[in-house]
Amino acid sequence: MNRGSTVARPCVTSFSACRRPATARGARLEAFQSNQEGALIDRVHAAKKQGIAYIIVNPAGSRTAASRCVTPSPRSPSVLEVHLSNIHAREPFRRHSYFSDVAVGRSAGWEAGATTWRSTTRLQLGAKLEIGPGGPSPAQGRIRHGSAQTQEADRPRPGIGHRRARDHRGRGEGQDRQRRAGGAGGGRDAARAGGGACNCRRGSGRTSASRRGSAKVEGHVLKSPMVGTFYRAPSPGAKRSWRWATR
Amino acid sequence: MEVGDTVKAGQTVCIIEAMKLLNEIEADKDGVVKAILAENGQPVEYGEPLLAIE
Repeated sequence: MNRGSTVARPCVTSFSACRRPATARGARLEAFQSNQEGALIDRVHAAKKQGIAYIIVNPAGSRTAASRCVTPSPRSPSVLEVHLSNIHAREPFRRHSYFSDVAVGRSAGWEAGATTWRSTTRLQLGAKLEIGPGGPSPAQGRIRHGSAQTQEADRPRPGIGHRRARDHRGRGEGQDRQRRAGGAGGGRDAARAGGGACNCRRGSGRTSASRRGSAKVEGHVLKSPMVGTFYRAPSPGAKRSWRWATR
Repeated sequence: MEVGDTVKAGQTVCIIEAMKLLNEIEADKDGVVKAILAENGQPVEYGEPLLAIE
């Protein structure tokens, strides 16, 4: 999947950048680009059936429906989000990404040159190989990924985009440029993006789920018919002694 | 929904939100709620225990 307006070039660049680290680690890489959201949704569903482990996505426009296809379920592939520009230094509508809460990690900015794509692939596959080929349940992989691996992704490492990392995070010219671009609130947002924002909702959700599952209960148990967020109210307007959880 | 509430089969006992839809979950049995096994506002998996009814 790639940016709609400039189709061919970034798609080709990112694919060839990902290919070497991927093949070096024995993984098969497939590229897919479409300007039609429906086609992207179909591809995500197909990925679940194919048993694809990871999706590296540049969700230009942060597509709503496609991101909702990747609901936290054991069969869904893990998603890593790559944005070419630092979306937090741009217009307000670009700052919220519908992918971030389903992604295991995200990198934005550095103009996502070949380096970003390459290191993203390397990190993704590194995590996968630690679990082992066809290894334990995807759930375990996700927890690992949500904790250690994404943190590693955030830290600029020597040799991987190190010089650019300093431009974005340090005092120098880079930060001034970002502040100018982002306007008043840009500084804080830019700093957050520079530190590599990541949401690991899936990982944390799963740990609490497995903890709860261990309790032994007597009597008839009503089980969840779907994946979702549990609320104790029988209807949205019902009287209650607690508050709706906020995201 | 509290522990100790009496429920009838088919009565809506809780809600699961999935893809912004609020799905009403009905009790499949008459009885008294003995325990609420999921935490409010937390994600649940398919097949995860929600309530114990006796």
